[in-house]
Amino acid sequence: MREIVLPQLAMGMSEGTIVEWCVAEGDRIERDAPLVSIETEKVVVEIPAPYEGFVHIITAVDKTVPVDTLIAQITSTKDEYKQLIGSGSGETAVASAEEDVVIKGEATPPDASPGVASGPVTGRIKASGLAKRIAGDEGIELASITGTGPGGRIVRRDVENAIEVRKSIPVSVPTSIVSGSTPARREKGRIPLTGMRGAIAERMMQAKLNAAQTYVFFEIDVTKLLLARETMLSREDELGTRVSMTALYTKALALACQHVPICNATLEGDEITVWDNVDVSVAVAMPGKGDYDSGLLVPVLRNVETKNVLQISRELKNLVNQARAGKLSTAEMSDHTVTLSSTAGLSTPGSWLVSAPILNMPAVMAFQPGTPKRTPVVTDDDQIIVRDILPCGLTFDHRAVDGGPIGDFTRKITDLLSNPELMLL
Amino acid sequence: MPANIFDVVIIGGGPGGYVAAIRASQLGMKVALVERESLGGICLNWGCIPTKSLLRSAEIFDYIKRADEYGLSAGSAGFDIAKIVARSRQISDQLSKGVQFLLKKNKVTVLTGEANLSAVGSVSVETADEGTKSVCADHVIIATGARARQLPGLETDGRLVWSYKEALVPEKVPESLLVIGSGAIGMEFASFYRSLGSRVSVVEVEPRLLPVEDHEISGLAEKAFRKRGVDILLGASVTSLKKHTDSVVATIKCQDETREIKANRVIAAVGVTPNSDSIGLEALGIATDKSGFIKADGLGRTNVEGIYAIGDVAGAPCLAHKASHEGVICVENIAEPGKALPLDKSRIPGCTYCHPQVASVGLTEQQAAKQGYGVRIGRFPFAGNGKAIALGESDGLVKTVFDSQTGELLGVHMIGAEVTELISAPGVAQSLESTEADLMHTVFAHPTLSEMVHESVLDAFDKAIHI
Repeated sequence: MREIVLPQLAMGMSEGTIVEWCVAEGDRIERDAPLVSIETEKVVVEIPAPYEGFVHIITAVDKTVPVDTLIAQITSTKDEYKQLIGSGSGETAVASAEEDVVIKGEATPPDASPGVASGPVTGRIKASGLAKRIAGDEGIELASITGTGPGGRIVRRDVENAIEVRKSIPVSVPTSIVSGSTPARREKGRIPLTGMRGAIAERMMQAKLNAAQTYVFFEIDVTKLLLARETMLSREDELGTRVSMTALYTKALALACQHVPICNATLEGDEITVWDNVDVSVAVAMPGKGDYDSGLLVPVLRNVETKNVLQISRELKNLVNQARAGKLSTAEMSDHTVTLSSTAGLSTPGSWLVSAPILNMPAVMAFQPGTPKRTPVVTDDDQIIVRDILPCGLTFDHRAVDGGPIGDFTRKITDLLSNPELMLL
Repeated sequence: MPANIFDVVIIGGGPGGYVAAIRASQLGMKVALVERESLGGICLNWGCIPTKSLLRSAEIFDYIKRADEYGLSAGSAGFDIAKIVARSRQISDQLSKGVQFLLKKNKVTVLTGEANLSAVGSVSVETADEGTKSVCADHVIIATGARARQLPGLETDGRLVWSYKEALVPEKVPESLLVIGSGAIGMEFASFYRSLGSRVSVVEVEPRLLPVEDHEISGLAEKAFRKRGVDILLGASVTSLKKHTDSVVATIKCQDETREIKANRVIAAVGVTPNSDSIGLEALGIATDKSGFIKADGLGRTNVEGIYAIGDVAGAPCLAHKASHEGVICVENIAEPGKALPLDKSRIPGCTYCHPQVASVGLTEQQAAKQGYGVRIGRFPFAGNGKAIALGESDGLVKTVFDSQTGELLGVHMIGAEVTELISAPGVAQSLESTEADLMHTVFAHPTLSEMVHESVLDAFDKAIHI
C-alpha cells in the first residue's frame, strides 16, 4: 500500500483543496493517469497517479488540507484494498457514500465559524438525518460543527447552536427593513477569505505592509501607437491574431526595463536581484466563485525581451485563456521580474483616469497603463490639437529603486509608446 | 473503605433504583441499595409486570371466546381467578428474585428497611431486625417512587374501594366495577375486568379517554371500549360515594347531569403521589414542587449537592423505563461528570396494555400544532395490513406526526393489537432524529404489523401504497 500526500506544488504553498477525484473510490488506476485535481492559492493542478493500483480516497472533495496530509492510499491488489477498507481502523471511510462527509488529517474546515470549530476531525462525520437537513437548509457545513449527541453525533441542537453562533458573529443580523430611525444593515452574501480570495487578500496586504511603495503618474501620447495598431488590426486575418494593446505595452515595458535594469529586479530578504531576462507578470481579471466575488490571477510571460509583439500577443491570449480555464500551473504564475497591470479592460476612456497598482512582490516595480483618451493638447507652437493620451500609473519599491532610475524608466517607456517605431529597433 | 461507607447509596429498589445500583457497580462504585419492601418496586411487584400477567390471561380468554373465528373449538371458556392471580404473583416473585440475583452478582449491598436522610451524605436505615443502621456516601440517590393518589372521599379502604394493589389480587371478580380515572392504570383494569365479565363503568374528569394520548387515539379507544360494553362517562366526576356491605353507590356529575352508579367495587386510579414525605427532605432543604415531586435536573441532580432524585419521585412521566434511564444517566454523570447526556423527556414512549393496546411516543398532533409546528399527518389503519387481518385484529390505527418544514418525526400514536411492541422502532427513529426520508428509506419486513409504521409515514407524504 502506498500513500498519497498533498504535494507542495510551489514555494510557500501551505495547503490545498481537493477539487475533484478523477477516480471513484476503490477503482483501479493506471500509473500517470489523472488522479486528483488540487486547488492551491493560485491554480488548479491535476496530479497524476504515481503508482498503479486501487485507490482509497481519504480526503473528500472541497476539503482543504495542509501540505503533506495523507489524501489517498493506493494498494497494488484488490484484496489489499479490501483489507484496507475492512481493517476497521475507524479512521477511513468511503468518500463516495452519498451522505457521508469524509475528511481526514489536520483538515480545518475553510469556513469554520469561530466558537464552533472542532479542530482536527477524523473519519466520518456522524450526524442525524434531521441535523443534516437543517444544516443543508441553512448552508451550515457539518464539518464545522462539534457534535454533542451520543458518540459525538451531530444532532439538531448542535446545528441550531451553530446557526445561533453564526447569527451572533456580524454586528447586525439580517433583518427586515425597519422604517424609522435605526437603519439596519441587510446581509446579501458572504465571501470566505479562502482559495483565490484568500491568496489575493494575503498578497495584497503583504505588499502594502512590507514594501516602501511609491507612486508615479504620467501621461503618454499614444496617437501614433494607436495608428500603428490600426494597421496591425487591419492585418488581423493575415497575422492570425488581434494584436492587443496589452501586448504593445508589455513589449515597451520589457524594452524600457532593459534600458533601466534596476526596474527589472526583485527584492527578497536583504538582497536585490537584478534580472537579465524580463519575465512580466500580467494581471488577469477572473470571475469570482460566488455572486459578488471577483478574482485575479497573474500569469507570467517569459523572456519578453526576446519576443516580438505578435508572439507576445499570441502568448498573452493563450495565458489568459488558460488562466480563465483554471489550467495554469503554479510554475506558470511564479518567478516574475516585473508586473504589468492594465486597467484598460475595466473602464471606458476617462471613466478610470489613473491609478497606482500594488506591487506583485517580490518584483520592485509595477506598471499600470489606463485607457487612452482623446484629449486636447497644447503643442510647442501653442496650437491646440487632439491627441490620444494614455494615463499611466507606476508603483515602485523605494527600498530598491530611487527616483533617478524611475525618471529614466518613465522617460524611456513614454518615448517607446509615443514613437512605436523605436520598438522595431 | 469501612463497611458502612459507600460511593453511592440508593434509596428505593424499583426500576430506577436497582438499575442505577447495577450501573454504578459496573462503573466501579461501591453501592448500597435500601429497599423497604420488595426488590423491583411497584413496577415489578404491583404494577407493570403483574398487570401484564393478568391482561395476558384476559387476552387468551378473549381469544378462546373467539375460537370459532379461527376455526377452533375449545369447549366452553372459563377461568379460575385464584389461578390467574397466583400466576401473576408467581411471575412477580420470579422477577423480584431475578433482581436480587442481579444485585448480588454486581456486589450491591442490599439493606432492607426504611431509609431517612439524616444529613447530606448520611442515610439511616431502620431495619426490622437489626435496629437502625447508618450508611454514608458522597452520592445519595433518592428513588423512592410514588403511590396511588388518594382523592378525598375516594380513599382506598381495601374492601370496596381498591387501589391497584387490591385490584391485582381479587378473591373474586366483581359483578360490577366502577373505575375512576381513565389513564393507563384505570384502562388496564377496566379492560381486564371487562374481559372476565364485570360490568364496567369508567369515569374520567377530562373530556377524553386516556387524556395524555392524541385526541384521535382517545376517540378510537372510546369507541373500542364502548363496543366492548364498557360504560364511559367523560367530563365526569364522583361527587359522593355511599358504601354498603358489598357495593357502593356513586353519585356522578357528568357535564350538567347527575347520575348514580351502583357497583360492587371501585378502583381509584386518579394518578400518583410521590413518596417524598418521610425521607427527611425538608431538613436538608431539598426542593420539591407543590405536588411533592423532588426537583431534579436532566442528570438527576437536586438543589443539594450530593443528593439526586430519579424516577417517579422526581416527577412525571411516572414510567418505569423513564426511571431506569434516569438512574443510568445519574450514576454515569457521577462517575464521569460532563459525559452523560441528559434525558430527553419528550421522547419517552408510553404504553397502555388494555384491549385494544395504545402506545405513543413524542408529540400528539394537538401538542405539535400548539407548539407552532406546521404538521403533516400520516394514518394507516390496521384494516389495510395483511398481518393484522391474518391475526384477526383488523381494528386500529397507526398515526404519524411530522414537522412539515424539516421532516422531523415529531410523534407516533397507535391503537390496536401489539402496538406496545411497535412503538420502539419509532422511538429509535426519533432518538436518531430521523426525517421522513430516513424512514421511507428503511425496509420494513413483510408481513408484519410494523409495516403500518412505514405506510403511515408514506401516507403523511401522500405516498402510501395500501390505502
